[in-house]
Order: sequence, then C-alpha cells, then structure tokens
Amino acid sequence: MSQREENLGQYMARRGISRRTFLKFCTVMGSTMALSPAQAAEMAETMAKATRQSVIWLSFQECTGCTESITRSHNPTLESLIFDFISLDYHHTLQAAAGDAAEHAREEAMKKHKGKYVVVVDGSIPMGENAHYSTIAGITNEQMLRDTAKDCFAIVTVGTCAAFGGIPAARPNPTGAVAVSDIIKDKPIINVSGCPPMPQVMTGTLSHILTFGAIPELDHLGRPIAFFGETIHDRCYRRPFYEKGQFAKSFDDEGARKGWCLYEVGCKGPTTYNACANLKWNGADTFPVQSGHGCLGCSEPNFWDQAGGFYAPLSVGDWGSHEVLAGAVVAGAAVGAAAAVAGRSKQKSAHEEKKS
Amino acid sequence: MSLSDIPVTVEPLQRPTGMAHALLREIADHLAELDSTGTAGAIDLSSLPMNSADIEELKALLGRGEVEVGVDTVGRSEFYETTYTGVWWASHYGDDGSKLTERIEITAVPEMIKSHPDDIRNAHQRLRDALPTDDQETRQ
Repeated sequence: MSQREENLGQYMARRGISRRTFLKFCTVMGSTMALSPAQAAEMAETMAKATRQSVIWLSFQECTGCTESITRSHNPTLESLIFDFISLDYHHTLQAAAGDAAEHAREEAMKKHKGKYVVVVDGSIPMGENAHYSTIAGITNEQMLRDTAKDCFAIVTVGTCAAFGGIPAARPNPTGAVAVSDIIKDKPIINVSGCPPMPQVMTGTLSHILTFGAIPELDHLGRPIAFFGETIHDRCYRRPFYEKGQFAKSFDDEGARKGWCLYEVGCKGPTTYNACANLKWNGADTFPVQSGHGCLGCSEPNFWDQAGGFYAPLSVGDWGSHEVLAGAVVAGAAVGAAAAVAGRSKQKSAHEEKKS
Repeated sequence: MSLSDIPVTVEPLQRPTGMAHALLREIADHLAELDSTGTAGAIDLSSLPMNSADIEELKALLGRGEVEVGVDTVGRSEFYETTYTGVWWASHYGDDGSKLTERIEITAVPEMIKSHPDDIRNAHQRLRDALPTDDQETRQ
C-alpha cells in the first residue's frame, strides 16, 4: 500500500501518534471551532478514516508572518500536528525541494488530486502591468494563482493580505496589490484574516474541512463565523470599564494604570471581528488589549489606512457613520450579554451542518 | 526593568455571576440522559463567559470524587470524577503547562482514558514482534 493511499489512522499508527493524542487534538480544535463538545470523539473517528487532505500553500506578497504564526505557535506540539494530518504538497518556506523539483511537486499534486485539493494563500497579488513585482519560477503570482485554483476544492486565504489586500495594498499601493477574491470568482474562498491570523483559527479552519469535507459557515466577508462571529469588544475583559464610562485618556494616565477601557486611545475592538479576546495569544496568556494597547483592527479590510490612525478613537475615524458604530456597540452589548446562548447556537449550526 | 515594574493594575470582575448554578441544571439534564439512554454528553467551559470565580464555584458545587486520571500526551490532560458519579472534570494542558481547554464530561469513562481498538491492535502486533523467536529461545 502506498503512503498516499493509507488513511490518517494508519498514517498515525505508522508515525507512532496514539489515538489519545489525536483525540486531544480534536478536543482542543473542536473547542476553538465552537463545535458541540460531544463531537470531539466523532470528529476523531471521521478524520482517522479519511485520507490526508492534499494542501498546496502559495506564498505571494507577504512577510511570512502568517507561516511563522502557525509554525511557531505557543503550543507547537499540539497545533503543528496539523502538518501531520494534512499532506502539505507545496510550501516555499517549509519544503526541502527547490526550483523545478518544487514546481513539479505542485503540478503533480494538482494532477493527482484534481478537484479535491485545498489551496492556501498568504500574501496579496500584484496585478496587470505590475504583475512582475512578484514572481515564482518565472511565473507571476496572478498566473500561478489562476493555474493552481482552477482544479481545487476550495481556497483558504491566511492573513489580511490574501484576504483583503492588507499592507501591500495600503495607500499608495505601489504594486497594484489585490486580494485573492478579486481574481478568483468561481471557487469557495474562506478568509482567515489577521496580521497575522491566530494559529488556532488557521488550524481550526483546516480541521473543519478535514472533518466535514465542507466549507464552514462564513460571515459577509467570507470569514468562519466560529472565529469571527464576535467583536474583540464583545469578549474583552475590559468591557465592564466601557459600560461604566471609565476610559484611559492617554497611555500614562491613571485610567491606563488601572486598566480601564482603551476606546478613547484608539482601540478598534468594537468594529473588529476576531477571536483574540477569547482564544488569546502566547499560550492563551494575553492579547494586545491585555498588554495595554488598543486593538488595531488587523483582521478588517483597509485597517492600515484608517482615518485618524491607530490612536484616534473610532468616533473620529471613517469606520462608518455614528449610526453604524452605535449599532455595532449595541449589537456587541447584546452579544456580550448572551455570549453563552450565542456559543450554543453556533454549536448547533455546526452540528446541523454536519448532519445535512 | 521587568514587567512587574510597569505600574498597571487591572481590576478584574471576580464575583460569581450565577453561571455555575445555571450549569448544574444542564449537567443534571445530561446525567438524566446518560442514566436513561446511555448517551454521553459534554459541556465546553472554555466557550462560556465564566470568570475564575465562576469556575471555582462550579468546582465547589460538584466536589471531588474517588477517581483521578492523568494522561501525558502533547502536554498533560487531567480528569477527575466529581462527587456526582458519571460527571467528570477534564482539563487539557499544552506542553508548556498552559491550559488549552476545560470541559465537563458526563459519561461512565471519558473517551480519552479508554484504549482505542486500533491502538490495542498495534500494541498486540508490537508485542508479538518483540517476543523472542523459537531460534532465539533455543539458543538461550
């Protein structure tokens, strides 16, 4: 039996990965994906019977921060297991092969897994007459994306650059950078935005595809609702200070020292959808607001070009009208108050999706 | 200058919010299901808006029973049965000791404690392979 034909359970046995280890991975991933807690064992059994998902990872105009985020996560042993559970057939930074051999591996994977492979993209794409700003093996990023996406099952963009253009597309956008969704119109695209995205969100999204063979429920910007369903503000531990009207006015005043709300020093938490406030970074220890700095809104489109800059309150920026902002905050209050109910409803929808 | 020199203090909200008592009812429903149909259930505490006071209150309400089990795989996982038979407290940690997720499992034995049939099959094969052959036994 070739290694490619074996299922994940057989692969794990060969690699000495116990089913307990795998069940722990599924338990933790299921928790971050807001699946029904009872589904972890079912998820482990389903994944073990499947063949390893072929993944082609394309890196375009990017800083490698997204790959760093997933490979140097605080719990590398657990989260990097995803690299055992998928067949990563092409990744510039991680693969040993180079040059023609590397490109051959990509073409082989595309041929062998036609219609079934997943394309992961980090980085934005320079377009048109600027396409030459970024090439791989003499192929422009735009052409490589079009060629590789043609026969894929789905595309996962990791990072705000691939999802929305990100920093390369910030004014004056010298390379004419665009997002993946500006080029590919006929394939499902899952946007895992963030600068960088959270490792648990990248791993959780890939795990969802592996488990259900389907696209997770997405928001209006194509992001998985399990991770992007609430704002930073909704789940912020400083929220009680916001409710009480206690704000830091500068980074060295009494309010800042007492850990009050950072809204007035530019926190974009009320309009930023991401999981930082509940999953947290650095081993679930902290996130930017907890470290004393407002949220920059890095998982939202055009975060780098926001009017007023990072340190102006939302109310003076161009993040929408006051009505939109007020709506976001009111909706946030409702979500915050009923977080448990919301969590359960997400679990329910994930469960129903699996059954359908 | 160390982190502790930065004069920032945070006033956390650390009073019980009533979540623990609400969860007791949900646990009771799961236990009734386990008793009547054998169906296991679980509650993911990490996904709920519980502060540390809520967690401590829930731990106190459930108490600690007779069984404790530790599993060492990509970090520690700890299980103990509460004073309510069939209600287990499960905590999963990473390699660095950070808590990854915490659950209440309503079941006779949590799945992770059981040996998986595939692992048993592999263990049997490994043990067979480790046994001395007839030739080796004769030489000894």
